[in-house]
Amino acid sequence: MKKKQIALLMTGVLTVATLLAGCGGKEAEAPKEPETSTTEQAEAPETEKEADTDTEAPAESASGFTPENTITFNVSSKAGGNSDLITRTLTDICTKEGLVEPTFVVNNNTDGSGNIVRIETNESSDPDHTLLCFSSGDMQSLLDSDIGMTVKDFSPIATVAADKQLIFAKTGGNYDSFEKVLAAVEGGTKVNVGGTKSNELTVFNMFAEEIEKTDMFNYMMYDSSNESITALLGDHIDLAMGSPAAAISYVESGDIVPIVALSDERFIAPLDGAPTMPELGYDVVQSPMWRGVLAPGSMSEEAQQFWSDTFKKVTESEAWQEYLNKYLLSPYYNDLETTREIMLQSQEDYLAGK
Amino acid sequence: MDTLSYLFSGFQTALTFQNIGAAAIGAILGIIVGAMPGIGSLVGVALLLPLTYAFNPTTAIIMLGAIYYANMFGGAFSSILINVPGDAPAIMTALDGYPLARKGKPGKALMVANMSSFLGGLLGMIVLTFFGPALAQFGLKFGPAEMTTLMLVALSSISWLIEGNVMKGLAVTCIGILIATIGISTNTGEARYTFGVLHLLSGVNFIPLVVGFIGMAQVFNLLGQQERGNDLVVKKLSIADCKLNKEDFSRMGAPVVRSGLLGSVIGFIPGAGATMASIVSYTIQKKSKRNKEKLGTGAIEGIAASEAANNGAAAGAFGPLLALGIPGSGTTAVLLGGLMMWGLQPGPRLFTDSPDFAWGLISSLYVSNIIALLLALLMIPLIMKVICIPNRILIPTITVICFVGAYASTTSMWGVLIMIIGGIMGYIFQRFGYSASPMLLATILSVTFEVNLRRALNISGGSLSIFVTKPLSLIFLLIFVALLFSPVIKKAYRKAKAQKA
Repeated sequence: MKKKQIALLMTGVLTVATLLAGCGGKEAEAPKEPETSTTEQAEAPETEKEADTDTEAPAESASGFTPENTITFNVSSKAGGNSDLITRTLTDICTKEGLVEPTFVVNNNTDGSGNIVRIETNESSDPDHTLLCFSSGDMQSLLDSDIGMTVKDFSPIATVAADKQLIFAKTGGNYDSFEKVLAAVEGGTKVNVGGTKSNELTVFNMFAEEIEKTDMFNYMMYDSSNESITALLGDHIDLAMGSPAAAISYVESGDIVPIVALSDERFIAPLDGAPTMPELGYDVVQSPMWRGVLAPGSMSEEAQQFWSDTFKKVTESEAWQEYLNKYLLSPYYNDLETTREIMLQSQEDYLAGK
Repeated sequence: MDTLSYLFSGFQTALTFQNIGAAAIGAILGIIVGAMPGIGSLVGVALLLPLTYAFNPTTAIIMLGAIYYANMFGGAFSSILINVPGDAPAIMTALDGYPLARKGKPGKALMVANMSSFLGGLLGMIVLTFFGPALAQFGLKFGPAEMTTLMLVALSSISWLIEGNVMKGLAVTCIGILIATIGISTNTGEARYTFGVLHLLSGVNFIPLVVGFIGMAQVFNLLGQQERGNDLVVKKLSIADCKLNKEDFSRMGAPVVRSGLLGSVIGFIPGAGATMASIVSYTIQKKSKRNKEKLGTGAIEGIAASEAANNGAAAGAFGPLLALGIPGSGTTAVLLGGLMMWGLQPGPRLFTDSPDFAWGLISSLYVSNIIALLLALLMIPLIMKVICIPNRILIPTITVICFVGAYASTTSMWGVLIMIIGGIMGYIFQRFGYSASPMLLATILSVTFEVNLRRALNISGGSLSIFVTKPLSLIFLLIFVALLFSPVIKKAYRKAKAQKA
């Protein structure tokens, strides 16, 4: 009898374990944000949906492709990461606005620094229904690996948003203005800078080259902007590269100040105190970290056109605007041709900076 | 005074019927999920986060706190009962918890673990309440140089864990360090020891490795002795076995206070976290002369030190999270995401801009801690019987748990493969008298050590002076040197004394 009870208990435990593990996978697919929950999708007014579908119909026929199967959207970050959030926002808007009928399955896989999922994308057996979230920050792990793939092997579909950077310093410290930094490096002092290893490094190198002081900076690599700003707060580095979203609350609290905006125009308040490079008498320095979508190299031209048009509509929607505002990103939609140029240029920039 | 009045108003909000109910549900689920190896607190919190969507903000936050907190309690269950640590911090709990359970005292082991978790957590919360913002600022002082020397101290303390043959201990420690170097280096971006295997680019996933090395290796071991059955089957377990007597409490006292406080402070250091806290506290405990039994053989002191430290750190991690908006660990990062949804603006202005929110959350932690303890205590009499399960049922059960855990932590079969390889290696280690824990600890510590060492040298332009010129770093360096030479000095002193006599 006792054995039976124990066996029963074990069966229960195993069932719960299996269910939870299963849910773990599902959780990765489930929407993170409350506003993207499926219940709300169900509650979306029918009329709105119909109206949207009506307006979108011509675009589908224009490209000559309509998705019919489940669409796999591969993401090389964990659920909740930046790439994951942008992918879920894109797919949710596609579904809510009735732009795409079949279901999206978001597949998160960080294995092999994201390269496993990139190979899977390119080797998909259904290339017209496979997409990959890709940003300029992913360039390093793609190009430095030995998988033998470059952006040229994929079909660039669209860029959808961009993140520009600023250089930050501790308030009241030795380097809290561009002039102070310049005076220090001209006086022979080496300045320690922290930032991520991908885009922030590229744009910082451009900055150092522009002021002709490449030898005077030590660049420390951190895994995220958040980490490098923490190091700046603790006085372990002199300057930190960062995106507006990562730094804004510390600027508001007065702990750090932006000293240079690496953009062609000033940022909005409270980051508006930082001058752009042209204001300081140099050429503009910027390398927006774009976020976009790639597709397998074998995707048909019609499908490429369809997805490009679809993401254009997504980026024109109100929900997309809300997303950009929430994460302090800049709008950055580009069509097939321009996207291709931008992505190949980023690849060249990265390889040149290596 | 402000602190206390805010805290009490927080309690008023937290102590409604609905909120306590939500906290209780959160705690039950938290304990169950936390006890599943491989799921652990990080995945557990992420998994249960959507549950809170159904409630109003206050209730949701209280439930989140309960889930997070109860997860920390749950980790001890699987460590103690089946020797499969649910999460990295629980590795140290297994070292003494499982032997004590095998001695026929699973109830006592669980009781000690849960009481220590509660008390360690409580200490952490008191520290958080009164010194939170100040300690968060202190945590910021831990830059690359300080982290490097702190890791030196932690790495050298591994030597205390090495039992028996020193060479064998050193060998497994080196293997641990080697495993940690696999993958893309954070500092240079180069791939190391990947041998063209793509999956290795992101390194060897740690949780499947632990599950394999400890859990799966145990399955192989049990298979070898299957004929003998489980000697504990016959023993009858009663609730009386769970009770802690006066002596037990007095044995727990010092380790709980020391480890709880130490754990809370380590929790405040961004990037250190509960694993580091339990490693450091356990090794310090091992050095203590007051242990009634040898640590590693089922000593109450060992369980108390590890559990009090990791719960103290779990509470301490809220310091940088609330005061600076910096999540100190993966779990708090997920939690931060959840809290942001409910209007928490992470960052340095939280305590000034929305004190009610911050203090409400802190007071809900106290409530969650009590509820989690009560529920965990209720579960003990039921769950301790797991130890009596005959091997023929236990073996397939642990096997499935290992597979599920390895898969759940990576959501890929690659995790399962690592677990199996880890299991085979772990079995070979056991057969030939090599202990796995120094290896696992070396793997965790050397990742942090290497990244920080290279960063520190990068900052100083290659000069080692950076470790001496920074006060905190110098203190750790001195501790390290003292640890290194203390046996030699002690020996010389004794020799001199003997000669005099």
